[in-house]
Amino acid sequence: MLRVAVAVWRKDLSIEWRSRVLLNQVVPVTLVIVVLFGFGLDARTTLLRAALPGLYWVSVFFALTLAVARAAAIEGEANAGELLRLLDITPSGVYLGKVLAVATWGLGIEAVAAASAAILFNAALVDPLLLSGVAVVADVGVSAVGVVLAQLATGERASESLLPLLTLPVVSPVLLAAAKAWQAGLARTPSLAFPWVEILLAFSCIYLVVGMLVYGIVLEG
Amino acid sequence: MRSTQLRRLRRAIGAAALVGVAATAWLGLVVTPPAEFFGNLVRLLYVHPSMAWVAFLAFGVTTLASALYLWRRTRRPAWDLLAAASAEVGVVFTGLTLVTGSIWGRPTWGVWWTWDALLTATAVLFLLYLGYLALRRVPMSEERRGVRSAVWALIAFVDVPIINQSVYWWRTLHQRPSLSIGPTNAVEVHGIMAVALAVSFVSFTLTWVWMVWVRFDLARRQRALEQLELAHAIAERLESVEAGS
Repeated sequence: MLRVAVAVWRKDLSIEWRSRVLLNQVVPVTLVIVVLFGFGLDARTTLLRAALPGLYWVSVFFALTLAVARAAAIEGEANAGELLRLLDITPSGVYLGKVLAVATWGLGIEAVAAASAAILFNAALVDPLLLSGVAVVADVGVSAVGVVLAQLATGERASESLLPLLTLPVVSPVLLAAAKAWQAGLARTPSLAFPWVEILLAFSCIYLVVGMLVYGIVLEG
Repeated sequence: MRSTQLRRLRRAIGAAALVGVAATAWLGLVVTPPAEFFGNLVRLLYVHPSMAWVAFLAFGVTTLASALYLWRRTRRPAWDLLAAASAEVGVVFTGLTLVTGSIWGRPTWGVWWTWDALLTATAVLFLLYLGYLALRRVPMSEERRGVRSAVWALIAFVDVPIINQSVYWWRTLHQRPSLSIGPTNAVEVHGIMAVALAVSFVSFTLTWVWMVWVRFDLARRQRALEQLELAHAIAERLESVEAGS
């Protein structure tokens, strides 16, 4: 299973490296969302700094949704997903590989969003260890859900608008916990972040296990 | 049971639901007195909990029917249609629960909406099942749609126990259940008020049965029509191929 996961992960990363869709489209979209928040809140840095955890995770969520849609589109091209199914490769291995690929792209998106929010909102990202740890776990949680839901929403039409509608309610505990943990980290009260980190870890693990169990059924369906 | 008898039974359930809802309105608005603390606002409580109950019941049935559809031994199109019919009615009742809760919240808490755990989880449930209905609208084959929506229904149902237990797990603004069955058998609603509440629960449950039955029947007919049209199209195509050769 792990060998399949690593192979799928490498395949998705090399396709992305050649096509550069995420780099040319999703990363700029992340920047646009952060800038739009600045416009929306009238560039008041005090307000933006206070709302930074929420704004950051909303930006990351939308950018990750695009990354997840991209991961599903790779399998849609030339019916690659159907071929994987016919080759009788273990679906949980394919799933893990796709989650790893989306999570790798997600780390890049999170880094860009954090850097732009820190510069544009004039905010100091204190406690980088806590913030980056939370970002990694939340990234895995959103990717774990997103990969299954992107496969569910794959159809001839309307899947682009459907994916955020399906993903947001399911990942809301992850986003809430991540935003709360960031809030505690930025306020220099890391002890308040730990209950949220526990929730984050629990939900991310549950999503990963459920995803491994149902991905095969969704692929067949 | 013959189809005419089933139709009569369905009509009888529909009529009983209508009478029950009318009786709830009469008991709740005319017969019962205003409450000591909440005044006339208490009349909302004759509909709000029963609507929430029907929403949970509907999503429970959707989950059960979805699980039966996913299991290969019991896979029948009827389970998928039942899951969809129940989810549609569940979405309506969740919407009504949120609206009546909001009307209750304005005078008691001073706001139309508050980010309380129970309210937020209910809103998330509403969004989850709106997603379920949207997923069913994506063009795909019947079996693929059935499997995918069944998987989604199982994922979405995880929110129901969270809502149910949120008033115990978190310190929410929402009051705990007025009627509870358990070791304490706590009953905080008495007399005619309890009667009004009981009538409301029964009549809204009957309304759910009637609505799901009608919607399921309609979906079944729609499916039969689609299959008939497909058979006609194949026959016409075959005829034209044969005429060509």
